[in-house]
Amino acid sequence: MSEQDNTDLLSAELTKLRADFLQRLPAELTLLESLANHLQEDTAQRTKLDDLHHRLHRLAGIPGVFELPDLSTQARVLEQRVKAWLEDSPEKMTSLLQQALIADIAALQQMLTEALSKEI
Amino acid sequence: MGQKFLWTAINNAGQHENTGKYVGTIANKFNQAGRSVMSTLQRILYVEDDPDIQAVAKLALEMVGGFTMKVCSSGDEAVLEAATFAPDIILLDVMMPGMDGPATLLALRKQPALDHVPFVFMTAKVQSAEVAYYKSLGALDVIAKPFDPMELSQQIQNIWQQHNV
Repeated sequence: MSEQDNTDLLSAELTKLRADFLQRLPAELTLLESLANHLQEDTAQRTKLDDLHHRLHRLAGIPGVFELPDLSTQARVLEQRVKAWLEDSPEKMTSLLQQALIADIAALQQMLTEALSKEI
Repeated sequence: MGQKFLWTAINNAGQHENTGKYVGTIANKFNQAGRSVMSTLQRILYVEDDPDIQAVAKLALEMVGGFTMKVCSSGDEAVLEAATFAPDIILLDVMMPGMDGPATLLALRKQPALDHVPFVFMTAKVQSAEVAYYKSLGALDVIAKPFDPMELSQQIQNIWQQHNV
């Protein structure tokens, strides 16, 4: 196979992986929102923040590979914010900060919706 | 360390001491006079916990780069399987559950067969201080995530060539 054939084949395979990822992404964003919503409810706050941090880190790395760089960038900003809370004191996270995080995750969902609508 | 290993291997008529897998690699690393020449990058070990990133990188490096890939989903898995695979280079995700990239590197370096294998970190954390830290651990370079799948092979090839020239 020629180099061009390989590139075309890769492009076709990436399109399939992207479609699969985008199908799973709304559920992942809903899960992020749920984690953020329950951060202050019980004593497992650090565990939830750890989970949130790990998931935002993944989200910072993947969408950009699938030509959604803005989503990666915004996820990276949120990842850094959660990381700072983890390194400082999670208990210092006020209701106001929590609401801001929830709003920013909702903005991620909106960003995804807009990006997908442009492709239709 | 790498040179010593290669000379030992070539002095044994091209037979790798343990696996015999280095014959082709050695042929690329030495000409008939026994002088070192630029080696060919062929075998890549990629340690990454995320299945989506794994899939994209594997496709990109196999289909475009023509490399032989082995993907490990954790540092523990890499420590168990890396030596048998005999990689030319190791790509390491930085943030992984359990053993992270730097810890995995330390564990791999304890294995004589791997203590000379060059490595590259792949991470979303690419602030200059972080990059400097990863390079201080001995990394050839740091590849930022998200990466461009179409460019990844060339990016790694360039790093390899800079290292070998």
